[in-house]
Amino acid sequence: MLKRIGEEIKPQFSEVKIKNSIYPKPFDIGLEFNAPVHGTWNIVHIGFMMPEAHQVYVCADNCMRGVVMTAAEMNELDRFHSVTLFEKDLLNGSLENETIEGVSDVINKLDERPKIIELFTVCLHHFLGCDLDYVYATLEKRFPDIIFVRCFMDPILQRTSYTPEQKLRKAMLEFIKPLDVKKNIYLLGSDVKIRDCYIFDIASKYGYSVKQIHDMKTFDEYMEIGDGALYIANYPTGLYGVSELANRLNRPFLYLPYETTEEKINEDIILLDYVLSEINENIDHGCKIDISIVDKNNELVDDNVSINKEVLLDEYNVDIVDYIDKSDLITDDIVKLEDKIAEVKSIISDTEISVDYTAHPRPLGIARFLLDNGFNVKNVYLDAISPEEEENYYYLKEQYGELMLKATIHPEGRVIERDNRRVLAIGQKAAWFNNTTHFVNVIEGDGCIGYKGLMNLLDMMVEALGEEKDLDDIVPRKAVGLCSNCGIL
Amino acid sequence: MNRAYKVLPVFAGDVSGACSALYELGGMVVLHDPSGCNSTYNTHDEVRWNKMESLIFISGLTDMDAITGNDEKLINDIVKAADELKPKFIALANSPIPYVNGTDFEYIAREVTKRCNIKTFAVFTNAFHDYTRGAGNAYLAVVNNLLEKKDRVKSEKIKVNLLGVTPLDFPRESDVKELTDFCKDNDFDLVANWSYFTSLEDILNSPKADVNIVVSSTGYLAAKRMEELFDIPYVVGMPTGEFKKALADDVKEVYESGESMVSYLNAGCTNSDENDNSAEIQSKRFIIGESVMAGSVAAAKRISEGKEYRAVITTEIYDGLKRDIDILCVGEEEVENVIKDCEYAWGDPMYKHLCSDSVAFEEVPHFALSGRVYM
Repeated sequence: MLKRIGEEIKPQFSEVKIKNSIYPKPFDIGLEFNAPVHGTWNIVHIGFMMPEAHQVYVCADNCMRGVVMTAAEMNELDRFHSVTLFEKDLLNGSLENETIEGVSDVINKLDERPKIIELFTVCLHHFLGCDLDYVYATLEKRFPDIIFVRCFMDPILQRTSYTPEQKLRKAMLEFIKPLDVKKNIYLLGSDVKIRDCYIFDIASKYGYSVKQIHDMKTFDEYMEIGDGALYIANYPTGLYGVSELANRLNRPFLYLPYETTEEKINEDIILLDYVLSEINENIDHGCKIDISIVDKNNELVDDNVSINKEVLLDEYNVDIVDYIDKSDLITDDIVKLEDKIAEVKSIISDTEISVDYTAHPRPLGIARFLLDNGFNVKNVYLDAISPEEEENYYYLKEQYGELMLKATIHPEGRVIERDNRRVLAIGQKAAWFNNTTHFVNVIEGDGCIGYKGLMNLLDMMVEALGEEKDLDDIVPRKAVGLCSNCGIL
Repeated sequence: MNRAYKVLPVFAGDVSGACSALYELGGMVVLHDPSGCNSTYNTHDEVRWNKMESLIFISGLTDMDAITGNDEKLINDIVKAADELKPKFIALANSPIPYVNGTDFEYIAREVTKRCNIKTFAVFTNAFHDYTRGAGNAYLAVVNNLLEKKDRVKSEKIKVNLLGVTPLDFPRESDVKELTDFCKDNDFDLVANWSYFTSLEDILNSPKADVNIVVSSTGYLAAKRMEELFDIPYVVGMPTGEFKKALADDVKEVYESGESMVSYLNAGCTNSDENDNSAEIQSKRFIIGESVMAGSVAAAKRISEGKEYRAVITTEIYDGLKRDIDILCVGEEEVENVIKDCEYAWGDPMYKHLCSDSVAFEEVPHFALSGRVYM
């Protein structure tokens, strides 16, 4: 239990009924609180997904601390190196040279020459006008056997441009070279591994292998990404990088996100089926892949993804109703999901449920799915509403206006009452804010896509209700699913 | 080159140090930073975050606000939060970009004080220094902004403050108990512990103390300032092992003489002639870490074993806190050159990576360096 330092504060500004909220910013947030909940991955975790890659950060001590300790807790200090900046570097205009010489010094000290280095520059490099082209060109000339990946730890730009993790996911694919196309589909841009779902079923139907970065053990294996027949992003912050890769390689791309409504899941299933059948036909006849698919699908990078998908399906002349009727893939899974809902509902009953945005990229979508199926969802923890959730937002506002939206970074979050142990939480933040030991310990949707994904989630809810977890030991640890070599005092 | 790190982490930074020092005092600490500082601090550098409330927030600085000098947003956000949360004071800490663009924190502090009538002050940080500097500056700011002279009443017991007690150097409750037990065992009356298991009320009573005991270098600036403002002399030293008695004796001596001293400098020295200490210079038995801790542990070992031990100081340091024969190292390479082939090393297990297999290494985790890894 937190020791209080003052009087209890009734939340005034950090929660609002959805019917009274404003899209897309339901809260007026100035100063920001950071809850002791760290299960999501940061740039260090993401960068180390690349086999054999080393990371070098060039920054001030205080900025370095978070990333180096992340690597230490991952047991990856052997692949993590740093170059600290001093105050004098800001004044004497030598940031380029200090960066180059510092990185060179690190490389020369290593026992083995890395094949690839993710070099992270920071906010200071931007603000001091550091010539990064010169930095990279010099390093590449000095170490021609090393690939230098342009990475950034520049959070000061994240509200007006891409976030560091979006840029990292892009950078991690920028040096992939085009290879002869094989019957491989790559699911990229996700920290968590995508679980069994319709993507695998449809891929199998056409004889394709589905590959994910999580299974790649060597850098050479990683470079085989260039042989993909189709690239798919599922997680929103992976969209930018994966679509850029497909565009550069002139290959088809699809964004198949964590949809939560029957209509949208069906659209994605049908779209993938049609796209893959077209690709397959070209490959089987020794033709190059139809570039028109690339053009069409790159439109999906736009904010209004769902509208573009409808347009695309229309262009394919897909009769959705007819397709669904004839598709065992869809009808079987729908029946199974309905059975699963009934089974889980009988166990969870009216237990109060809270969902947070770290657990799933569509927290409002999950709330909608659960509410529509009779579950007792009371709170959704988020700080802003993603454009991808606009439709879910307005649906919930209309249908379930009493649903509470609660901020996670508002300063009030530090001092409000947290004791609501009866809650079943989906996500670490929802768990911490309710101080409940019954929580689904997942991040970023946990790879649960489509109908099977929703069934996975329901199973995890039952499991969470049935067993207590050690909240105080679990949620302060970084990166769900990775090594956490540390103790929690 | 002393800026490249192959395996060692860096110490907790100055921003974390400032937050740690002010954590329990009931104030609101605002880090003028886009993101990351607070997360780094509360994940790796703070053991109390999930146990005790503290009003520590970031400003969420954006590039446009930095470029256009939009300090008004920061001021408004602070005032809004202060109106709601009613902190006892407000402290502002800097980060690299506001430091580079010369954000005027003194002005912002004055404006916030004027608008919400809560004492507001800046703590000098810029993210380029380690925790000793940040915590030290935070304590200095507390002395300068919150303390007032108090009448010192003579009593039978020597009244002391413990300066420099943050979880970064003393992470466990038992670590703090060892410090307070030192006071009890020597019949010292503890006025205030700066600042772990403490309160602002205790801290405000600090000027009533007769002697300040500086148990880590984070308390050194505050001790110097309290000497100037309130005529309180100080003794520098961390009570540990056989050094405890020497330190206690020095506290009593300083109480009588009013002359401040760094207790461990001459403790256990087999040769009192500073110019003739060849045996100590030759010593390759090293105590690695923060200056006061390393100096005190080295003194304890000299006393108990009658052998020479030298401090290898890896944090930033203030003048006067090391012996001439102690070694100051900046960066991994300098530390490695000193300790790699030494006879014995005492310090955080991270340093072991820099030593050859033949080195007898005594592992003593230092939270400010290895964080939660060895907790």
